[in-house]
Formats: sequence, structure tokens, C-alpha cells
Amino acid sequence: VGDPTVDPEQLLERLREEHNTLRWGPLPPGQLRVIEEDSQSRNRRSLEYLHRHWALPDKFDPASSGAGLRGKIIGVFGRLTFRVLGPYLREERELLAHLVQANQALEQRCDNLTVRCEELSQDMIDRQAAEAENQAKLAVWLHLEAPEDGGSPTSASA
Amino acid sequence: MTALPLNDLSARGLVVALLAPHWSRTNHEVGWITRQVAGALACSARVEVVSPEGAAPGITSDSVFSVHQLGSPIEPSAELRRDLIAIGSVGDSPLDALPSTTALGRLANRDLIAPWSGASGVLATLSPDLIVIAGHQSVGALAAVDDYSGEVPVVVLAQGSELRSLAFPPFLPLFDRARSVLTITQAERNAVIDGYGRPESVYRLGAPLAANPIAFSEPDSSVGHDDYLLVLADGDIEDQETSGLSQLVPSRFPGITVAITRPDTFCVWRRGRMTEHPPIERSSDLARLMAWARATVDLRPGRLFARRSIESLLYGTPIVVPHDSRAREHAERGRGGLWFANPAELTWCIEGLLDPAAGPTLGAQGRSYAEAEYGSTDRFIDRVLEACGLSPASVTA
Repeated sequence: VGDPTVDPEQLLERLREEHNTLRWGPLPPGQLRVIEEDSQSRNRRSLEYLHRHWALPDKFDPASSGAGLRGKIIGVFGRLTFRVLGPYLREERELLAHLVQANQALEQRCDNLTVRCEELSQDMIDRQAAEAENQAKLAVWLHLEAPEDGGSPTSASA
Repeated sequence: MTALPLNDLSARGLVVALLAPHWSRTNHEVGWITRQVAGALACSARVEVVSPEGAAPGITSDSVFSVHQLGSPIEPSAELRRDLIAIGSVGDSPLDALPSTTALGRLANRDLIAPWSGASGVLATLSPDLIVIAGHQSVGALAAVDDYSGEVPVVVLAQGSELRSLAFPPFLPLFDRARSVLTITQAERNAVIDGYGRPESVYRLGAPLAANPIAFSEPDSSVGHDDYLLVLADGDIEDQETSGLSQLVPSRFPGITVAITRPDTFCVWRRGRMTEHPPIERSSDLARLMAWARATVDLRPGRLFARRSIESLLYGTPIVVPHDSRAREHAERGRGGLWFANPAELTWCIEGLLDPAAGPTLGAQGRSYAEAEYGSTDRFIDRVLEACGLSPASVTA
């Protein structure tokens, strides 16, 4: 166990020496991080595709069955299938329509949040700039308050 | 100290007359310590207080003291003029080089002699065995004592809040006449000895202070269990420098809670946000804040003996104080803290005390010093009685 005492005079001298070698400068304000345009346009293309393709067929198209006996048989089965599955397909169509609307609303909400985020970032940068200015004033003030006995350093602005 | 001549003492016991320019002012260190000295004297003697205060001459009772009011209170403007002249006249030049000290003395003491004119009659009635004059500037009180008798031993309670004032030549007669001079701190004692010599007659009393153990029961709710710095910025008058320095601390140390006491409010800063509370008025609340703080930054320590700084040390909390204040003695001699000469050093000192290797050790050292020199009422009474020649040993001798 070493000497547990602390000599304030020596401690003060050490603190003065330590700070004599330090240099201070104001922090520059941060830069806005640029949002990646690529991912945003990709999201927009996906949403446009959903708008174009959400309405799936809900009835059988006879033109797609072809001609002849084979076409008649396919037409019968096709009409029968769509008649049986009709309620389900209409429900699914309604669901898809709502999903697309929900996605549209989400996109608008995301756009709003992005704008708000950018505003907040700008507010923070403005605040940071004001803080830096205030710190600079403080540094000048500390610099002006030089020790009377000349034994201690002044804060450096370099 | 030689004992008082007690051969002619009758059954009335010892009578001590305490001449104090102001007796009712107890909220300042000067008034407080005057009462403490009177209280210590009252352990061995009947203490009769004589003061120019009061609207009319009369006698009132105050605790164990009889207060003889002369009804001729001293004008504050006269005291202010005297203090300004005394401080302004004493610079780096030798005292004997001062121009026309007599004229300065007359000017300084104008309107300060007459209020004491009734005191000699009161003293004649009391026939005191010892006269204690409160204040090294109380030339009027000394004049009243000389009018009464040149034989009665006189003790001067220096009350040297301003050390330069102690060296003002017109105050020399008080020190010349005094059998002993009572001072509170070592700095004050040194100043008296530097000016007038006779170190064997200049006593350092300290003060009777104690830590309140209840303060450790739980922290103040405004700071909770946060680690915090306590900044005392609530002197008599809040000046711009004190206000600026107190704002500097939370700005420089946003990572630690900072509690600031101001005359009109009590603010707590946490991570850049401030909450305001009613001002700290009860001494128990201040004690609690001191007891739990990492360090106490006293920006306006008391000018006579820096009572709050001592109290902080009694709670084991290290102090940061101005380099030209009376509190520096407690930080330097008591090894209980650091002192600063400018705002930059203030921040370095706080950094130093926040260092876990230094802060608690300085706090412990300061506590030992404060307890030894200021923490015992019994020892304070003994020192007062010894300095005045009233100690039990000398009385029985």
C-alpha cells in the first residue's frame, strides 16, 4: 500500500502541466447524411407494379381455351373452376386491393417521416452550430482570463 | 496567557464586557462568531454585551447575555467609508510611507466614535474584569474603554474579513492596547502578526462547527442518488462573475449532475437540461447537499473564515474555492481541496477532484483537518478561555 495522501499543491501543478499541452478547437457542425436515391426509386417501381397488377382475373376468358373439342372441354372446366372458386377469388381480389392501399399509405407515411427526419437533422445541425459558436465565445472568454501570476497556461485557440 | 488578577473578586464572579458594534446581526460570519465567542466566555463569566444598537438606551436580555443598548446605532455609510479608506490606503508600499495617516484616520473614523460615547458610563456601572472589543476597526469602542479606565485588560476579537484592513495604521491603538488578539483562521493570525508582531499574544480560535449525521440519512430529492457536483453561488449579492462561473460548470461537465444554489433559485442540471427548485434556505438542506456531493465548488466563500467550506470538509466532501479567498487556507493547509485563479483552472480543479484517486483522499484529509481544528465546541471554548486568561487552570491559580 503506497502513500494514501494527496498534496493539493502538487496535484494543482500537475493539472496545470497537463493542460498546458492540450489544444482546444470548436467541433465543426456535422453534415447531413445523403439518402440513397437508388433504393428509394426501386421501392417506387415495386409500388407501381402493385398498382398495375393487383386486379387478378375473377372469371374464365373463353378466348383462352382454344377451338375444337379440346377447347370446349377446357372451356367447361374453366367456367366450372371459376364458378366454384369465384367467391374465394373475389375475396382475394378485395384483400389485394386493401394491401395495395395499405402499401400506398405506408409509403406516404414513410415520406412524411423522411421529411421530418431531415428537418430534425437540420435542427440538430443548427443547434450544433449554435453550440460551437457558444463554445468559441467561451474559449475566448477563458483565454482572456489569463492567470495573474503567469504560472499557468491559457487556453489555446490554435 | 497570564490569568486575570482575581484577588479582589467578590461573590459576583467574573464579569466580561463585550463591546460589539452590532450584536443583532447573526446571519453573517462576523456576527455569528461574535456570539460564539460570547457564548464561550459565558462558560466562565457573566457576559455583558454593550452595543450602540437600539432606538434608545436600555438593557435587554438575549439568551444568557444582558445587552446594554446605547441607542446610537452606527450608520452603515460611515462603516463603508471607513472600510473603503482602510482597504484603499494599504497597498504594497510600506506603512510608514503612507501620506498623512492621522488625517486618513480622522476621515476613516468620522461618525464612528460618537455612537460609543455612552459606553464608558455603562462600563463604570458594570465594573468588568475583562473587556472584549469585537472588531479591529472599533476605535470608538477603544475610546470608550480608555475613558472608563486604562487598567482593565482588553482583548480584541480581530474580525479581519479583509486582511489589508488589519494593516491600516489608525487601527494600531487597538492592537497596542490589547492584551491578546483573537483571530479565527491562520491567515488572519499571520496578517495580525505581520502587522504588529507579538505572536505570543495572537491566538487562533477556529470555530465551533459540527457535521449533522442526519445529513447522511438520504440524499436531497432534487438530486436523488445521482453523482453530482454542488456549486454554491449564493453569496450576499449575486455578481456577474459568480453567475458566469456557475454556468460554466454544467456546460463543461455535462456528464455529471450539477446542483447550483443561487440567491433566488436552486437549479439542477442533468445532461444539458435544467430543472429549477425553490432556493435552499434551511441549513439542514444545504448540509444534506454537501454530504452527498462529489465535490463542493464554493464560488463565494465567507470572508472571515469560510464557514460553508469547513462544513463541506466536515462531511468529507472536498472543496474547490477561489485562490484569493479565506477558504483557500482550508484547501491548502487542510489538504482538503483545490483552488483556482481563473475559469480555466476552475474546470481543471473539478477534473482533478472527479478523479477517483484524488477526490476521496482530499475529502478524507479535509475532514480530518476540519474535525481537528473546527469540529469541537469544547476545544473552541477552551481556546477562547485560554486566550482571554479565563481558563479553569488559570482561574484556580
